Amino acid sequence: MIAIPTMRPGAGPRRWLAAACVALAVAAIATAFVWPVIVRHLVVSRLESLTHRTVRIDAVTVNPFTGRVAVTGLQLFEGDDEALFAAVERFDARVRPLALMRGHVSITDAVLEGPTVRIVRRPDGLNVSDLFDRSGPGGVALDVTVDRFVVTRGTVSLEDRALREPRTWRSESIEIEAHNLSTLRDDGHAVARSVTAGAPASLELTKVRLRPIHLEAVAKTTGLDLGLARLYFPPDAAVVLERGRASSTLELVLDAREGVRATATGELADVVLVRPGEREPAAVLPKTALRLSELVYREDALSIGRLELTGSASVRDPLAGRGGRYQVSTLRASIADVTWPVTTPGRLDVESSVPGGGMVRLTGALRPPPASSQLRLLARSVDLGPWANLVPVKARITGIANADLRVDEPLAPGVPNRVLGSVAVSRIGVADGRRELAGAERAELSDLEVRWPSRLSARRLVVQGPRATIERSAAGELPLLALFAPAGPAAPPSATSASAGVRGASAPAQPSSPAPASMVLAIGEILVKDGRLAWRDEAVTPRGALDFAGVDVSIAGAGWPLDHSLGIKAAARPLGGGQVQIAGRVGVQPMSADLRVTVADAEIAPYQPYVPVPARIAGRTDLDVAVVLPSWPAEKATVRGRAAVSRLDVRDGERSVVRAERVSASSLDVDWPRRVSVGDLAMQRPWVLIERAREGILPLRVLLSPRVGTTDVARAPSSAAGAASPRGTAPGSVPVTVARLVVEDGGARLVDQRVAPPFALDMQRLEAQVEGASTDPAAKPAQLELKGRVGGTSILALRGTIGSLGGPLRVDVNGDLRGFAIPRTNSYLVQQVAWEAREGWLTTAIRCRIDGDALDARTEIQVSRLQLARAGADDQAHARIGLPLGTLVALMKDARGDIRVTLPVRGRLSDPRFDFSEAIWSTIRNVAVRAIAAPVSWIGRVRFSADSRIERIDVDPIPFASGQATLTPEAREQLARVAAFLEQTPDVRMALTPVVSSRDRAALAEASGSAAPDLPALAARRLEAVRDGIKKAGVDTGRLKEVAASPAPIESEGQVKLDLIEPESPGSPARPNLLKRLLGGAADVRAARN
Amino acid sequence: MSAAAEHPPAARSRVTRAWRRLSALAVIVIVAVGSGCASRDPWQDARIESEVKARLVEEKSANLTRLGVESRQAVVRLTGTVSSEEQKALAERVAKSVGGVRRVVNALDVRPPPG
Repeated sequence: MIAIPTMRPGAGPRRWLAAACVALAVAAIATAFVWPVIVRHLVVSRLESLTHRTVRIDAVTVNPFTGRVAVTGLQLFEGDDEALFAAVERFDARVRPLALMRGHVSITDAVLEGPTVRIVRRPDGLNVSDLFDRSGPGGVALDVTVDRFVVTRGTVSLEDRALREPRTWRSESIEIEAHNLSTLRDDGHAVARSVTAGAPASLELTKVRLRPIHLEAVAKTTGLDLGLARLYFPPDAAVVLERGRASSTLELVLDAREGVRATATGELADVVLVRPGEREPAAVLPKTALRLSELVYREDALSIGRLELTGSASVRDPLAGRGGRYQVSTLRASIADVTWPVTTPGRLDVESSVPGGGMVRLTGALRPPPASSQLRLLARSVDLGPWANLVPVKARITGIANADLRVDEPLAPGVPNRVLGSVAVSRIGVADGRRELAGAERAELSDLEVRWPSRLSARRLVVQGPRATIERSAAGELPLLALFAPAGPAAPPSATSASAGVRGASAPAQPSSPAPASMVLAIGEILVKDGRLAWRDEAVTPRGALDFAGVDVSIAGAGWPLDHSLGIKAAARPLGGGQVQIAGRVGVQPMSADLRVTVADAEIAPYQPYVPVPARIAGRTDLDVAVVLPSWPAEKATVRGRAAVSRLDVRDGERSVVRAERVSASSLDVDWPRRVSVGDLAMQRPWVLIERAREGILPLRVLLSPRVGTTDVARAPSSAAGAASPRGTAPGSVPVTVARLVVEDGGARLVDQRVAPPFALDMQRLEAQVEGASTDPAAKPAQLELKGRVGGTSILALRGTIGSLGGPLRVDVNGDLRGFAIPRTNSYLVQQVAWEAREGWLTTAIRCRIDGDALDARTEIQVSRLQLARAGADDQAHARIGLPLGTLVALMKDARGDIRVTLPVRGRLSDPRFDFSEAIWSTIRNVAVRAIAAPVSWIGRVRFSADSRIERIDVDPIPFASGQATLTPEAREQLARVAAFLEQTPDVRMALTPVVSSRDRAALAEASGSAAPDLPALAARRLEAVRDGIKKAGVDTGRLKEVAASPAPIESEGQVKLDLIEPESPGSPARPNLLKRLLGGAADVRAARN
Repeated sequence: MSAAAEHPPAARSRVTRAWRRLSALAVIVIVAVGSGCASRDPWQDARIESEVKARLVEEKSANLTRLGVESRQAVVRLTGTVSSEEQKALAERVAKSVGGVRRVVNALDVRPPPG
């Protein structure tokens, strides 16, 4: 409003009238010239008062009669530099004077041409803030009515000097046309258009009332470039807006009493977000719809009924390198019932598809801190595969995740303080890039509670159907563990990114939220159900392969740090059948165990690579032991219980060398490293092959000797897992005691390939019992009792005591072997004495005592029906005793054909001069000499050589009177002795050699008168006389061999010379013997003659 | 004329005794010869058993160490269990290769190993 001063006229009727006229004229003239100046001055001063800015106006035209007002060249300047704030080229308005006089500012037409407003944003605020903060002038407000208001060519510029790089935005071509704007009516309406940052915008106002203000507006923007907002992102933002377009429609109702009520819809298109320093977009949102409803602002209180966003996105994983882009096909987010200041919680509902598959939904009530927010995060079927690179390990982890997490805490920046819920992952896979090494059907963590950053706990972790293949390389490394080592830093995608130094842009891969070192992990119970575990070991030879199925594990009290023991129950089915169960407690720091291990019918063959002997061992084991490891590595352990192996099969390659139906040890008590004791060790149907190879070695000994080159790396995986494997204690130094050893129905096959033909002998039905066997030198001797069959027919029995295996050798054993078929030893007889037995049975009683190195053995031998045949020329018996073995045996046989001798062997085993073989031969020689000396003394004498060998046996001849063939009394006596000798030694044969002397010749010549007497006839008659004499004594004359008389007479008495000759080898002994028994002497004689 | 009339009792008794003796002698000869054949060369059977067992044990490529071996008149009977027909045939070949074996009765059972 502009106040115009009134003029007061002068006094006096005429003069004064004239003067008044003149003065009026002068005043009018003066007013005509001064009025605009005054008005301009008033306007300028008023505007400067209102805006606190310098105002300049080129001209002001006011026609009080017409009410027309025109202002040209209006300019407002601000600041010390007098910068232009606003300018109007021209303002034309027509005011109704009469209405104005009534206090109603009524403008029929107002036109604002070329207005320009320059808004500057400084760090301390906008340059227009003072205009809004400053209250308006007081006084009575006039009613205002504008019938028509027009703005043409308006411009609003925004200079943003708060940015590092000041930018200016312009809204140009502003055209406004409004009608019926009034404080007295509410039917005003206006239409405004502009081009803002290049995008057309329109605003339509209806139902406008100026005071109290009321309007309904519809604002539309099309294709607004969102890149303008790039500069308004925080400088340390992980992403910035690269580009995008926005179109929106805002419907707004502004009412002085009701406040602002607005709804809006909008669409974002082609929005691209990039990480600082990168060119490739981090996220692309092709199309996103926004919907805002029920926004109310009244009395400084803001409430939003619902803000909803739907769309899709394409997100790139920064760790996946180029091309690692994920499609978020569905993104829907809404927030409802939001108020500010907060009076009711906002309801948040965000649902999004997850790259690779699955959905994530976040719902709940949202309050600003310090009030608690109640949020629920549901994840459904989220494929972890595309996110594998986010896990900072080399392993590629896949799976389908489901989660139900709740937050009921004041939300602080970063990780919520307390999160409750459950997480489950199905179809878990862990691969090394080439193949899957581990996995599980499902793992579920229930009743999860996270109190960041101090504690993470869960009531139960259930792992269903886990599977793993753990491999150990030839170098002893475990690649599976290496997979979980931290992955190396990712290569920076560009050189500039490294300098950007922005978190999440190109920084090396680090755990996203590493748990602080002080964080406590606690899982009440870990359940593993129906797992499978495969162990492949290239570090041992042959390659180790262990497989377990049906692995069930229950661990109570798991967590970290592990300063307490864990309750563990585990069960598994090893490959090949059976069951393994472990229950008890295991400590980790320090490592300790108190476990009960139960194994039922488990195959032991797969553990072959870890057996330190070359033998292949198979069988099924049963084990029930309590294992206590006090602490690691104290090298102490106790094992108590029982163990058994069934169907034991120890092989040398393909050959079985040891078998047993079952070997069981009960009352097992191992107190390592002090002692090992077994209550009862029972072997059922054990069998062993004891073989001497052609090379002279014992393969069984080689098989059961430790492998050459066995190293620590070849230890069983159980030891790597912490099982007891005390080091530094030599197993041989630990005393082992077996209280009772029982062998039932045992057997053995003795094979000697070194002799020819090879020797083989079976021992069967061995029953043995040993009580008190021990390696403790202080232990009492063990009681031994053994019996069994040898060679199918003979019976072996041993009984006695055996001293401690760890002390001096002490043996006191008595034994019997009955009915052993001697031909089974032909391999050795041929080799040792060049004879073989065609028949014969051995019965012997042995008493053997060894005390330290003192040997005192006595063997009583009875050999029955022994028939020998020479099998070679190297007769060791002849060489060592002096007589061929056949002759010796024949002489040693009694009348029944048996040999009974006692062989005592004594000596000191430690004496270097002691030779067992020589001792045996010496004993045999002594025994043989004693055995034959008595019968030979009847008919002659034994002649010995200087080395005590038998040189020869001289038999006294049968003497005859000169020229006679009749037996003299002396001859008869000698003949009777010979017959008795032959009867006593049924296998001895004699050669009869008639000797005709010169005296016989002389006597025959004298008796016959012939100069050439028949000497052969005399010899024949003498032989006949001797044979008849022996025959009459009942001796088989087939044992007599007649030898032709010597052609040259000798100067001695006539006689029949007797010589022992080697028995004939039995060509086929069975039949003649049987015939002899059946048919009597005739057949015997015929057989002998034949 | 009856036989009793033709032969006086003493003569008849002598004939009867002679027949009895001849019959007994024939039986004895038959049994003796038969049993002599049955038990001929038992030491050879022992040698054959021993050598066949040793040869079976010596076969490294098969598991023949526990087979039962019985020789009667040089006829070898193999008993026990082997894991394949090939091993059964191998055992028979090994037995036949031993000197003096006339025939091999292969009574081995074939039972493949489980699994």
